[in-house]
Amino acid sequence: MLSPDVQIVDIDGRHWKNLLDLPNGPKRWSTFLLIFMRDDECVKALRVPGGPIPNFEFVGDENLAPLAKKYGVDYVAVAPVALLRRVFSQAQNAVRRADDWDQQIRSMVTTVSALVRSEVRWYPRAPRFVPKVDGEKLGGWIERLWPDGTAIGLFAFDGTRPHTSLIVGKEGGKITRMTTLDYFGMADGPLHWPVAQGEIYMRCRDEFLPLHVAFWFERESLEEMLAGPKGLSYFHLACKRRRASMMPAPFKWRALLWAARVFGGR
Amino acid sequence: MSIEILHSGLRIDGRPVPLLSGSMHYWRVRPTHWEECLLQLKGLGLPIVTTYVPWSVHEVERDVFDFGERDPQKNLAGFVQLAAELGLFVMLRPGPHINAELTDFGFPSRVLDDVRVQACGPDGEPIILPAAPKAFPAPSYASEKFWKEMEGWFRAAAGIIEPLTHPNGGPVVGLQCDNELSYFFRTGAYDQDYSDGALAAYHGFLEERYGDAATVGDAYGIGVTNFREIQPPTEFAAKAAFSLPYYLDWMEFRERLLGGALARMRLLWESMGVRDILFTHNLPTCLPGTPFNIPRDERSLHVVGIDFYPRRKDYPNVKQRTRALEGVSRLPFSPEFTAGAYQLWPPLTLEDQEFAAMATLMHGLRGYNFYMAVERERWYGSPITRTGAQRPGAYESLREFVAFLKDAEMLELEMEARVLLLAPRIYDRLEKAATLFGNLPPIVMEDVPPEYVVSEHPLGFEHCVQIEASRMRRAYQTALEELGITYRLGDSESRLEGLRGHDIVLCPTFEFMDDALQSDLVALLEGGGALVMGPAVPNRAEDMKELSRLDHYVARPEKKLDCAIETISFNNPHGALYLLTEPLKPGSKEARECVARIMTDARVRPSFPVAPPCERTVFRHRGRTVVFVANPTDEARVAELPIGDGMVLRDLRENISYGGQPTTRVPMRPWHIRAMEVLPC
Repeated sequence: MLSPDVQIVDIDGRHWKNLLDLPNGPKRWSTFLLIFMRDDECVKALRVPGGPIPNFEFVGDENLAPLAKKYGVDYVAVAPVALLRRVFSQAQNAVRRADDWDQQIRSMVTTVSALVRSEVRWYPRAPRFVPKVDGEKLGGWIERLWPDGTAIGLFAFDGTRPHTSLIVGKEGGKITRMTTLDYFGMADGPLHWPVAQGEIYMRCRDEFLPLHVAFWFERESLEEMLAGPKGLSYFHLACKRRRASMMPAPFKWRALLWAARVFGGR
Repeated sequence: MSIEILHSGLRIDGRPVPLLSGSMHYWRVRPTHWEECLLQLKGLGLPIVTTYVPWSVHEVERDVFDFGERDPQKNLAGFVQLAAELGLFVMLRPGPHINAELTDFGFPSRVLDDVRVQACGPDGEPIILPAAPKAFPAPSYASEKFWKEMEGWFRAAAGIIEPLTHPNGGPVVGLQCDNELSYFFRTGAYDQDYSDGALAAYHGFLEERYGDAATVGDAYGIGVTNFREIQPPTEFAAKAAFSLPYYLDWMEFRERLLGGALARMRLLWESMGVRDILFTHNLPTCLPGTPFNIPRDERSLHVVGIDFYPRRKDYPNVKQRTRALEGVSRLPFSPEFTAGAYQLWPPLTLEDQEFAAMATLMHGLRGYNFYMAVERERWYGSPITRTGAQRPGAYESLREFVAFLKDAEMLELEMEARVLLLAPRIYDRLEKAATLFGNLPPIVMEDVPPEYVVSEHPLGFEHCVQIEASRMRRAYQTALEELGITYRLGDSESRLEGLRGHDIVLCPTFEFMDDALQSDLVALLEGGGALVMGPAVPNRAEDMKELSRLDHYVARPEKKLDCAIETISFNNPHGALYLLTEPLKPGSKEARECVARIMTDARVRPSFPVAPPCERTVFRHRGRTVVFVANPTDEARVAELPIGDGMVLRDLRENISYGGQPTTRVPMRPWHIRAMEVLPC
């Protein structure tokens, strides 16, 4: 998806930071007891968070439950100390130079996940570190939903000041361009977004790539939508209240969001 | 040459020129905007413009180069001449590795895809760097094929660069050899390089050290008839001291591989006529321990610096890196100092950059290349846009900082450091060699204490050296900071020259220590210096054979100091010697008390101490005294400084004075650093 020649220009620093700082739901980090073995000898025991456990006595991995209880962790993992070397080796071998970067990363992640599942003994079970993604299916969906030679936009406003923006362009089946409102000298506003939508749309069309779909938000609405459990329902409501909008709103996107909201419980 | 290097900057044709520069990538800016961008850069007060010269951009097909003949945006000579016309000096960075967030880091794909060029892991497979937007196989700097390709590139570039150098009347005063040469950030001890070229170099290194195979076999406790029979370690499996030379040699070889490549690059440039200018290099944003070796690399290059892209909360690392650089470099310089950032890094704000600038100045940095002064694709937040406009906020901020450096003569100041905290390189090598996770790169794990990742096996020593050595250094450092005593961080590679000029040297010592450092410590004592060592007196050298040059000096105990950790001072005809008999724990009351007692005994007194969490450093030059005070926290504080009656502290940036009383209260905003000159009322 990502072109090796991708042009990322005029990214406004404030917009970029605000984008990365957007809330993405409540987080609770799991706790681990990691036990590293060389043959039958435990060479390192780490509680994460916490640190190394001195004089750790490991009697065998038949029953890890008491260890989880003793050290108060969600997961116990027993791994060969040489695992990391195999992870590096196999992950590197999984990379094909001709692939796009996203495919290269997916190949590495898939390989590492499989290796960690097969070589590490977990209690109570292996945690799910990364969601399974079928790259081909995902690529197919993107192709159907996002025509070449167009862009997708996200814009959020704090009153009349743009809070964050991101415009991503696709050509020849790959993401080739990325920018923010700074591209048009509009990063700091003032912009009353329901009115400015038209101007931004036209400047995108004339100077960048035409927007195929774009999401417009008041900042608070966007943050509440991302923090809440039913984001799409919230988005639907925010649109009704004119605190968010999708413009342009092609039929396929509207249908997809409707289906996800109604049938996916989002 | 007409370019001299001072601790505070350069002197070009007898005229002092601060090493203050801004980066601009000519090939990423339309030529119609070059002049405006350079004028804005000059308007920041920067006398030098720095640019990469990318191999992959100029090589349009194998051995065919375009330096502006076809594409005016690649007109390197035109860009350099324009800079000269506008009154700017130029520093060039022609790689071969440049990164610059370019796809394939500026290498032509055809070079990277050649298997004869590629670095290998212990499995013999290529090392892949998963950099966006394309993962690529890392080249090996031990590959002769790679050097042949590199030579072709250098020759093409030298044809353009040589007439533009300062000795030939041009503006080019400096050239950087490579960029962040660091095994492509994968500095793990057993990650790479195991390619054929690297193995040949490793065997050459052993031959140079041991002379013949039988001797190295003896040192390693193995029977070999040929150096090629020796395979480098791929994991740490030592369980006794006699096994260590095998690992320590590998770690030293990895330093030599990098340092040797840099030296060879300089020789290549000089053989092509590019000479009598400043040759530099930059380490990635990290501590300069193994596999880096600044003191040694500054014997083949003029200046080796460290790159900085920190957020405010990274202050402890910024302090460590700057101090480590200040302690060893002839001109502490940041060849890439944040002016904007790359999108894939954690976001950096202008406030982060402003704080980092003052923090590095406070800890001794004396040269800056602001990267990127002029924005370009895959970068944001620069003070100058790619069309040559000023970016509000960022431009004024940098201009004000540069003016402050110049107007207040900040780069002339020298850090007051009466104490040297010495890091024996041999212990650092052991710490990195003793990792249980050989692929993990230490440069991205600086915040992880060694006990998390290294073997806890005592290896037959009383103390676990691979853990305790850096803990001792941290303990000394914390105690000195709490006591308000400014220290310098030293590297044993600087040899005796680096030990001189301090009232006292603190050096963790364990049962073994390389002969060179033992000899340097003896020379220090014989020369009247003061030394604090322990928890053990070395009685073996780097080959683990018996050697104790310091034993003789601990023969006559003078007295025990009154502190919880047994500390003995010794009667010596020349210098003072203190021996701690136990390791210190970082942040412990005992460590603080012990260091305080030694400093009192050695008559080292604090100057302008402030209470934690505020910190301070003191600089002096020609009768001036400047005190930096930092508040590296989220809360406002008041720093109390005992400056004495009749004196005031004048903030050199905010033009406010504090004082008049024996103890002066200075208000500090959150994440705030003041530079204050001590003046009479």
